[in-house]
Amino acid sequence: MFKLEFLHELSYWLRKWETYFYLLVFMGFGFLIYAGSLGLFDPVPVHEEMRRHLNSFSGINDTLLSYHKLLFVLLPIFVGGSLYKDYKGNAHSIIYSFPILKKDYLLGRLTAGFLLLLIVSFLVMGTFIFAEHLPGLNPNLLGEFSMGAYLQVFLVYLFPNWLILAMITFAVVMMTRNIYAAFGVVIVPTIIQLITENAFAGNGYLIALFDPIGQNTSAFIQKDWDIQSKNELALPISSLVIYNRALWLFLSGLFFLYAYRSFGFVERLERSFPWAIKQKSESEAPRILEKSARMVAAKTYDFGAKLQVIWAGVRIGLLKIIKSPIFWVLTALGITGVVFTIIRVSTSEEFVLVPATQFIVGLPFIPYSMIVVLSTFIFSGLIIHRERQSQMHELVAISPFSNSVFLFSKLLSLISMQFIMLCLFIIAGMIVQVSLGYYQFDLGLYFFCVFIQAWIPLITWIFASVFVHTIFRNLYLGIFLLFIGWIGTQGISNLGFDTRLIEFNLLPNISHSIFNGMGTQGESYFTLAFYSFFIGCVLLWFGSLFYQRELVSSFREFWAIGQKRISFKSVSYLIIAMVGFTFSGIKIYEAEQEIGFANLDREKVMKDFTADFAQYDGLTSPKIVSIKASIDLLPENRSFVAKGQYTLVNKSDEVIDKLIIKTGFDEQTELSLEAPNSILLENKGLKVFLFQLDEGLAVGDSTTLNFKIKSTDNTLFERNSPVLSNGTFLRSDIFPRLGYNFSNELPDPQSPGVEKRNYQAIDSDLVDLEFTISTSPDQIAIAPGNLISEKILNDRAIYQYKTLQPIKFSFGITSANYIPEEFEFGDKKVVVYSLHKGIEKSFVDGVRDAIRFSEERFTEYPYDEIRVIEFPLSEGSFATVYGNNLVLSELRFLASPDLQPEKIDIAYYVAAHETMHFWWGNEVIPAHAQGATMITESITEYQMLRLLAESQSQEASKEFYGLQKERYKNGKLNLTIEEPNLARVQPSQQFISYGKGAFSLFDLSEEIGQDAFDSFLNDFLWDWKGRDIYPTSDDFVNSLKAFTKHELDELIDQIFYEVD
Amino acid sequence: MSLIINNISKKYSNGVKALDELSLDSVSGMFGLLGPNGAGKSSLMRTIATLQLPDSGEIFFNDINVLNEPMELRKILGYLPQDFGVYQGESAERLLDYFSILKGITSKKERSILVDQVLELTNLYEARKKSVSSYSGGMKRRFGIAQLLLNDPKLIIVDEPTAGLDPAERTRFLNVIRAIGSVNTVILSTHIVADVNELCHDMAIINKGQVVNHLKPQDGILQLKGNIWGAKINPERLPEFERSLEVLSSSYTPDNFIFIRVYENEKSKLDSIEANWESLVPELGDVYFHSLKDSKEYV
Repeated sequence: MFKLEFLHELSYWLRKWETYFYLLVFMGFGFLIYAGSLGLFDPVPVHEEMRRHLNSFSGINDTLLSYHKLLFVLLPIFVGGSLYKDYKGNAHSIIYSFPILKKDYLLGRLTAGFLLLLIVSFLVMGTFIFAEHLPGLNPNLLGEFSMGAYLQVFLVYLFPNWLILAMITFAVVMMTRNIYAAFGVVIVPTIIQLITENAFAGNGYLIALFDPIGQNTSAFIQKDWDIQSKNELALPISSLVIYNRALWLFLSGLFFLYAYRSFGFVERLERSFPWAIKQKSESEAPRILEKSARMVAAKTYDFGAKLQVIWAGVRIGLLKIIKSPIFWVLTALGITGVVFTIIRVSTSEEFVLVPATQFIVGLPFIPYSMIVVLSTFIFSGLIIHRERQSQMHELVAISPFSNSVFLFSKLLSLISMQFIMLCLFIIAGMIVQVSLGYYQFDLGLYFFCVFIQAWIPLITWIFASVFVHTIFRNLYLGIFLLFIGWIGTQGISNLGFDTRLIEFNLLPNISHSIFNGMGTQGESYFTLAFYSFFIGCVLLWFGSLFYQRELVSSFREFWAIGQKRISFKSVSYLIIAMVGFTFSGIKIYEAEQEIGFANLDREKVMKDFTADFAQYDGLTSPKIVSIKASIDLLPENRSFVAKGQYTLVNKSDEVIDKLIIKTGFDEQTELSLEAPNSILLENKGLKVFLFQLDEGLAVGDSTTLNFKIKSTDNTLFERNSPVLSNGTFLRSDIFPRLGYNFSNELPDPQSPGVEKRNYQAIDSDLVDLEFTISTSPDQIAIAPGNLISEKILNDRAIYQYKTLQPIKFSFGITSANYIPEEFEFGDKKVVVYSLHKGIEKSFVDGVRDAIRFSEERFTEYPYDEIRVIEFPLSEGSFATVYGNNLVLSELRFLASPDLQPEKIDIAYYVAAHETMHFWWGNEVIPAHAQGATMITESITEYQMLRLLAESQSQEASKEFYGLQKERYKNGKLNLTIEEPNLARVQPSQQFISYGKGAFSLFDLSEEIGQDAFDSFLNDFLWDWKGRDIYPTSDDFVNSLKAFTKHELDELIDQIFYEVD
Repeated sequence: MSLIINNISKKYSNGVKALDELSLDSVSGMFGLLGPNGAGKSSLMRTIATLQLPDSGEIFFNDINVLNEPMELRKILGYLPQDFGVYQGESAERLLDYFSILKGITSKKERSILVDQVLELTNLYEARKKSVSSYSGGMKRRFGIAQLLLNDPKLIIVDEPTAGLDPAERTRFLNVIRAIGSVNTVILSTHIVADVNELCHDMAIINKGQVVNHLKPQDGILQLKGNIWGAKINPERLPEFERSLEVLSSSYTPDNFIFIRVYENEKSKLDSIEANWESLVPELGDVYFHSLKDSKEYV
């Protein structure tokens, strides 16, 4: 009997065209994704470099496991559907009367569905194998073909995964006799991953152990592998892998067994509650009705009656949804994910951030909104097909109200469902905030982000779902198409389409700032959101044409009904939607056509530039020694105008008669050199000019460069002006720069001439700054240096700043409606310019301790006033120091030292770290070469370890040490190129400069002795301080070897020149 | 108040021609629609009830062009389909309230009274708080009647209403139909002749999507008077009788013989076949089967 059931079920699915459709879609998608990743659609690169091989054991494993998350949508279709179809067709009551054994019936169905899933997996793997044998792939991404890699991932991961999930899905349908619940299983693995990754943050083993599909398990066993290992080694089947597989097989088996035992060949009778009925009946007065005198009620079909019909439908539809266990299971999973994400991110690693509302509506909302979208796909099917599934459609269909009334009612049911889910998100967010001791709810921000920003695209998904479920009456097919469309939209840009016009409902994640909300991204976000919304309206219009309560016997009739419904009234709705769609579409199209760097043919621009200018690489330039500028900031229209002057000095030992000047890319700059000159070359794409001086600038001579800079207006998608309505943060890149420097990577320390250029400014050593800044009267403008004067003139606030000693050519100017607060220690003053309040003390302590710590070891800190300045998150999440200004992203102001006192206080850490850069980054400025950040960041992070031990505790220092080790290990995991050694680290590789640098220097200092190492650092600082040539990492290592009298050369070489 | 159907045709996508140029006029009062399974009764019912569109033809109810103004008909239509379900977990009271809203009754107070009245009328008042999906077959049928009464319909269509009901429930059900049909047009579709016999003043017999006979039941019976004969025969001889005579029906007797009913207007023809013929009083069933045989398309 088992065989019969199994074969019958298998042949049922193999006879359906939908089965082949699903298969083709997944094979097609798989091919495009894998072949695309292998570079089929990209030009074949000329250079050979070590990259991660996508067809290695590791690569195949990662790709197939990720891709199979999409395939999970087949679980409810093949596995759930194999059982549910009996309930759907009411065939179960007949089948249950047959002399068939429960085990044969259930296992026959389950096995058939399971086998279909395996077949799909096999065919998808076949597509991958085919793709990797195509010509024209990127050879750097391919190793030797290995069948073993495919077999291993199938046997160790895919086969058990399908079995685990098939048992769960089947059990869910056995218990609920409901297919909607089975669709919920699709997203369960992802949510469990999200929960475990956050719940066990920091404990990779547990995350790996509890991953239901083994993705984190295979990542964990490769965590110490470099690229070469990932390219060459087979994945070991370690005890962890066995435990993980066994654990989930056991749990799913247990669940299946429970459902199996509970299952019986019986009709499920609806339970009623007699006590409730009795109570109600008794409580009501008996009614005396005369049967002969039946009342004839008044009937109306006006607008009010329509509203009643709509409301009645919403009530019934919504009740149906919220009575469904799957709704609550999905919501509960989503909420759990939200809670763990908030806790995880707010208490990330050793740092603690406050669970501010602006932060809760960001990252934690993303997975939750995915749950809302999935629920929309599932429940829209339920709502659209509700009457038909209840077999009540003929009773409802004869209502004299139009189909549009019923369709609107269904739309409102779904919108109400989303409303409830969104409310639950806000409630969960606030509960977490309270539980973490945070009470500053920003209800306005919650409302805006959830009910305006996020809800528009979610409602668009409702429209799309209603359209799909109306056109495709097959529930499985409808959900499948929506799911594939949703995922497909997110991958469409990978196929080479480079316009937002085809990205349906794919919106950027936008962080909110206390300074200016969504900032300049608000307009583009809502334009894109409404563009998709109008597409959704058009889809809904088509859906409304074909939505049918009545019976339709053929596609021709279905089509004819749609055509018949096209009326002036309905077309006018379409026209409105089309006008909105066209208007927003044109706006997007025009914005995409605006000439900006994003739209430039970068390769051509660089090729043209290189052809003309490459010959001047290495051209000697004068150096900028002073800057005097006046800047008018206009926050109200997000623009600025700056006028200024550089003093240039020829510090080289040769006459300079040519000068390369690059102006700000987004700005319009007018240049005027004091020395008579002519323009020899010009590249408009990169805004680079080559000036020929009529008379060369003699050695030691100086000249001036005058400039006038105007910001360019922002476009919809491109932000050209750095000025914000509040929280402007201008950086030095708006100013003209001298010399040829167009490589993103730093040269080797052994390259000739690197010592003549400093790491942060190749065209200057230290410079004197003098800025006069005007801004809105409600804002305070801040620049490095001392405040010389401030006044209000002609409704403009004017501030004048001047540095008392020269600083690096790296500075920022901020302007916002700050509320400054002053703090004093000793003879120094710290002024905190921020909008976020509450953690000023931590900043002040960090500055104070860092100055004390460094002054004891190195030179004196020269500034009396130190400013801690907040800038908006839209400008970055970093922190840096410009002279006496510590400029920090608002993210750093969300630190919360009080919530978890045992953790490292990130505000204290940031302030101390940036303050210590005065010595390691300003007193000593490294050369423009690889390893520069070893001198700035590694030494500063090492100092931080020592400072924590001194000012806080040895435990705090140890924790920080462990954190840096973890940071390095995690960074290695994500490395896609060969790891450089510490002396050759590039600026972007912070896990090496911060992580490895900190613990390596600490280990070395333990070997040498802390005092001796401090003494060496002090010597090194004095050796290089105030010079116009700069040390490289090799200079640092050589000095160190000399200091240690070459006794530790081997260890030093190992630390700086080797990779673990 | 009468219904007129002109040349209605309906062909399904699987090729089945459910209605074939079907016409009926002067349908009023309690009207029975008799026909075997698959004759097109439900298709006709659904078409009249505006639930599906015919390929061609016209339907009028009084001055309403049903196919052009379906919403106008729905305002005065009561419809009970052959088979229907309800939302799980909803009580009769709540569902009827919902249906009355769908029928345009906006006053909550009026709805409440009306719902109670139809529950009383269908003897469901005591079970009004119970979930309809847990009702027995008979109760569910009565619930179906209750919902169709809500809008005081002028045209009532009931499709196979007594199928599957026990005798007591059937009697109760027919009584309700009789009560409401006295002042309205009620189309009762069934393959159970007795239902029509008990209720209807006018009837049509349809087969293969066509009307094979449209007559009053009593007229049909009268037409057959003197032409219906019966005989008790050995079951083995039934094929012989069927070949040479118009056997309308046959049924086993307690002593394992078969009693056949035969239409024959020439007694001499009967005499040529050996049997104890007796003259029988015609029944509506004889009219039904004779009409089907007469259409020569009955299989």
